[in-house]
Amino acid sequence: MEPEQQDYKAHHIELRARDIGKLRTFEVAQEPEFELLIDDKPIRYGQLPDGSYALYEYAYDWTDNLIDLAKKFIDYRDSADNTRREIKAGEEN
Amino acid sequence: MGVRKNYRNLTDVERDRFLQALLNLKSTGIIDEFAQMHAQHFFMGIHRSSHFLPWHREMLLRFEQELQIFHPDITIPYWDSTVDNNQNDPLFWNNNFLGQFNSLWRLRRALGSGLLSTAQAVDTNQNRSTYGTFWPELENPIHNRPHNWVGGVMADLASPGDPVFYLHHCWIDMLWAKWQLAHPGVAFESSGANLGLNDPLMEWPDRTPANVLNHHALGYTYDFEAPRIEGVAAFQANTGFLGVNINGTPSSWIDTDLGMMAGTSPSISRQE
Repeated sequence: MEPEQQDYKAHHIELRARDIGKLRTFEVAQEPEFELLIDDKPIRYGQLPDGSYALYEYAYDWTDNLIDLAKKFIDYRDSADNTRREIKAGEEN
Repeated sequence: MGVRKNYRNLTDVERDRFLQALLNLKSTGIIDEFAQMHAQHFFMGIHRSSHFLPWHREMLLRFEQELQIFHPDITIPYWDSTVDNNQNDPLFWNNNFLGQFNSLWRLRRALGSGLLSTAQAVDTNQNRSTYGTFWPELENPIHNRPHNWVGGVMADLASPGDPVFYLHHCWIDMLWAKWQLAHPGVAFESSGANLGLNDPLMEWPDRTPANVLNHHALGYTYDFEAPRIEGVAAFQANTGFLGVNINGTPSSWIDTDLGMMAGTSPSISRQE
């Protein structure tokens, strides 16, 4: 994996290398080597036994590519927000 | 012997009892404990591994035993999301059943986000001839999709914080049980190191997949097994076998239909 940045549907996705030396100093070396950010906000993720990635907040979609996963999460989050808005509007009417 | 059945077939009394037990487990912190435990182990072999099905069977059984402390007749009902796939379903999602928990427990559901699997996909999966081809497809997409379809807490690592989790996983467990009965004697296949038949399950080091292969030995059946329930009753009458004991006494039997070894139920202990 390499540091990477992409813009996707008005969102900014970044894979940023962590300061491993700093992590070791603070004994949190189990943290992933790369930090995933969407719009500068950290997105927590982990790796399943086969090496594929999942997000803490979007845990049931698994891929081998973190940037692709971030894009899927953005799509999912937008869809879920729309659904919630529709439900709320329906309740108000 | 408890019979787990489709939520649609719960009587009013059973439905109310189940809801009250859920509220009780929330108030005592048990639901949050299960959610935390699931999140803690999520990346440690309970998903995307051959332990996926046995680990969740054990978890569900322990949760059911917690419910049974509230009332001994409770069994976890199941939600078949290939059939009940409408977010406007008045029976499932209204405030008289699982709908009430959305605002009450701040679950942030977004019903209808994403896809659900079809009955045809489930049928295809049921015809897989080996465990190694069966469980990966049952887990993803069949199991994964309803998590995202419900959304909110159900879509994150701590998904057991939404009671829908237990009805969904009860259905997944039923599909495993159904497949086992249709494929007697098919061997458990390990997907990697420490994920074998006799390797300990995360969180419960004294429990292995071998302990949970036979769900009858764990003290429950499913409603699709109706004809054999009479046989179970006869078996109980003839042998005195009374099924799982919720106060923690192990019970066991051998089930020739499943072609597997005897199993034992776990014991739960909790400080009052």
